[in-house]
Amino acid sequence: MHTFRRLMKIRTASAGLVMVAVLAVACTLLPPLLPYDPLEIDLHHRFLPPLSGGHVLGTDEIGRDTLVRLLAGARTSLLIGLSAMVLSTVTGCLTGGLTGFHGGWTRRVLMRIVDSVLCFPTIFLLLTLASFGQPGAPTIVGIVSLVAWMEVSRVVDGQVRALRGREFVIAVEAMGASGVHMLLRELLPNITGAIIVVSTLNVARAILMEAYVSYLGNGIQPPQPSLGAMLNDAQEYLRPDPWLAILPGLVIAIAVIGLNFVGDGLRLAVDPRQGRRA
Amino acid sequence: MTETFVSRLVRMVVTLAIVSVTGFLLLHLAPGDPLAQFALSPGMTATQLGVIRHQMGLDVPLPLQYLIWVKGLLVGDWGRSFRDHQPVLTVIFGHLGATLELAGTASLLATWVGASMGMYGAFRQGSRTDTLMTVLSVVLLSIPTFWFGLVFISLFSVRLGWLPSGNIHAVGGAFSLGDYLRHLLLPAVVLALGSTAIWSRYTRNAVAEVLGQDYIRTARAKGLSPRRIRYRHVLRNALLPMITLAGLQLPTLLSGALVTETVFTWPGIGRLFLDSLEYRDYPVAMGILMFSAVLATFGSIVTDALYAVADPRLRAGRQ
Amino acid sequence: MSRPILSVRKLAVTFAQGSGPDIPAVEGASFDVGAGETVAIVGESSSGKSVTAMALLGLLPAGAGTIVSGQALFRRDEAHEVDLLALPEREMRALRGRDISMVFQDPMTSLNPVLTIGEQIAEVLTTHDGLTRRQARATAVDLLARVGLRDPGQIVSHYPGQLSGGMRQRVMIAMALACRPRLLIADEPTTALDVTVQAQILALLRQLQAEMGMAIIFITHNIGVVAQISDRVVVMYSGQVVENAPVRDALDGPLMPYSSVLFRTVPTYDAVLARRRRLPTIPGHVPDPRHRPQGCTFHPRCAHFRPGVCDMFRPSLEAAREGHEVRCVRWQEIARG
Repeated sequence: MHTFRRLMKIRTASAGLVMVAVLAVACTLLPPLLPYDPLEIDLHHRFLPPLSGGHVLGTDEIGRDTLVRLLAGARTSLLIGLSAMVLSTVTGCLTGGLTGFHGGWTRRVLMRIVDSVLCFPTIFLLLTLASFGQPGAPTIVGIVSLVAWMEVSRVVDGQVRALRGREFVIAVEAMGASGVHMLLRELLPNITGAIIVVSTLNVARAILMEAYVSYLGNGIQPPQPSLGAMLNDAQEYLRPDPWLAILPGLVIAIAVIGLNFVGDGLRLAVDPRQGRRA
Repeated sequence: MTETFVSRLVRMVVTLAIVSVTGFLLLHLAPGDPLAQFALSPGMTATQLGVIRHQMGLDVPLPLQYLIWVKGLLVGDWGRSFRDHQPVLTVIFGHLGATLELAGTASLLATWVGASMGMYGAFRQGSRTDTLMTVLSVVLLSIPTFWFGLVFISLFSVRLGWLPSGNIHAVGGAFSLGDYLRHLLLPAVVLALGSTAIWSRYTRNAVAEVLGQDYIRTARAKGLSPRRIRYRHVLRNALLPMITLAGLQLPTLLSGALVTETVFTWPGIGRLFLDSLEYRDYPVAMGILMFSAVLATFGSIVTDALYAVADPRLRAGRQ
Repeated sequence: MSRPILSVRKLAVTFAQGSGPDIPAVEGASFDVGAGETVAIVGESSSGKSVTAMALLGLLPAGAGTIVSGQALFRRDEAHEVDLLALPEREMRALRGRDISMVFQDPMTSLNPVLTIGEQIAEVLTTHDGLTRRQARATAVDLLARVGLRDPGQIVSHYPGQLSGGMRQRVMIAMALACRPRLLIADEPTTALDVTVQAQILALLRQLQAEMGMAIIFITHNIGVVAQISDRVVVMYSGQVVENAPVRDALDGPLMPYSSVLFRTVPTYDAVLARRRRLPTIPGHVPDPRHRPQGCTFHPRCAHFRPGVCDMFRPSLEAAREGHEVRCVRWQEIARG
């Protein structure tokens, strides 16, 4: 509760929270209320500009309603972001917990793997991996998590190592609790703050990566609406309808800026010492 | 010093080995067949396909393919492109120039603008401009670069007609520097946006950190002018973390270049990679992968070397 | 006493925060420093002693939140007197490092790690005395020799990281004395050093003072050091000067109860010299500057506290005798026993 109040005091963080909340509510509640389907083609009303012909944000190259498609795309993005976050957080906590707790060769192996993954430019890695699986949401979640877990792992590893030396952990160890049990019961509550920060920023990163992969044609496949894929389509129609390119970018921006503001704010709210320094 | 250098080298080789095995496996096990393009051409028989497959070296077991490839890699024969049968290194170097020009311009731009923004913010911490720039850098980092590409094209090329929307020079025209720069401007700016934000954030923190140090107070107590304190005492120290960032940015620029090259149809290495993925041109894709991995490790080694030159503490330790 | 070189009157420093109450770090501090005299300012942490020093040199963070008031008349030379608190930044800058200079507590962090010792000393000389780089470097070598560093010709081209803490503090002193200042402010210059090195640095300061004749404001919480180096002691507590006396009077017969506790385990001047003692811990805490107690700020910790008196009236600094001031309502009663 304290943390939340501190968070709300940071102007950018509260603005970010509002942005994300509005977007989330809009893409859950609004689509059923609108008289269009994201896949419904209407060749008589192509390239309608915003606020015309009953389409609030206009239509695309085959007459589909832009607003409905944006909302559907945003929903996909948010869901992908959340799923990738859950997957990468779980993986990161497990690996980071293991190496932080066990140390020694497990950490060396993990470090080598992380080093190698970091050697691939992110996009190269995403694309190679994307061509590996069936294009679609689950694949994207998988490959984004594959990149994102490392950060969580690093944070957890560091925190576990720092906590391990503290008395209460040594006390628990002496009482004979099993390693894993102890890890979860005693350590995780202490590091949730750090994990929440990284995870929030990872949702933002995942949404951004989905946009890149879909834009480059290896993500969500048409006709399913995706913000990245919509931008790819829009590139051909910059002359007749620049709105098709501008709007999906704005939606991505709202989501990712919002999440980044919340994440950066959380970093300060969770660790007030850092806040004072900044 | 020599010992750490050797262990560094070993670590680098291990990393490159992991990268090569993973990359090789991923590419070869991915669905799709490099021969698909030939299979579609009329009059192609199964026997002919078999011959091509043999020529490509795809008819031996995968581990053997890998070993053959590694052996070639070590002696400088990186294989030949499946698409046009050119040697991989020739293909890569044919595209490298365009990417280096683009990424080089962008990184100069980003370092210059970003570092200036960061310093300005750090020297005026808490001011309106500082807050604005902090928010701006989050915004820049939150929006996919290709979107800026699209918006810039639709504004400056389509709407205003000031600048070309893509390609490295006008089609059919003779080469002229002006034309080249006009083509370079938009993609370089777009590619620079993201790293400008990173540079600005990072420089601000680095300079702010130095400003809080005791020796800056000493410099003020000596009666030095603010100008002298800034340039001689603050920046000299903030330079060290900035060198680290420069090294880290090297591989990131390649990633960014890939997307920017796609938006602006810039004939660089990023687009070559995308194309070779699409056509299952394994040798070229692997070549680029290895090339960028070497670049990344190389970047971190150069960073360390520069660091050693710039930091008297390390220099002293070495003597 | 001849006319003082520095005369501080009613110095007050307040840090205003955007949210929350203001922090009065120093409240109306007044004291004099005679030419060639050493004045020790003693007190626990957050007593306002360091803030006083920083305020005199105009080194407090320049933000809108810092409010400095009062007067600090400094005699630049026989003819000119300036108010340090009212001087424009430009003139203040010309004064800093030339007429008044400062040595800080931690020599490990107070020197710039990426500039050579020579460069750091030379820039004081090129800035203030208009020396050429070559001259400045030669002078730097002389200065290093004067502060007792062996191989000064070598050390000028060393970086701080190559020197020990004691050597670095000598460098700091060389830098501070480069332009022969009339006043040196030393903010706990020996606190971060080993005991043996502490003694060497104190001896060096005394020797240099004898040679160059500058006045010293010596900020410390080490009573042993006070006895060794100072002519006069200014005791500060929660932002106020509570006692100001010649060193012998202060240590032998402190009048303010706080000073007595402060010097308690070191009853006599000679005993202090015999075994240097650290500040004894006093029960209770230094009050939070945002919520200082009513009346005498020391009353919650004072053994002579009298309800209805000490917690009602804030005592003023009064002269107990010539050159000995005390801030306590009951000092006469207490002195009588």
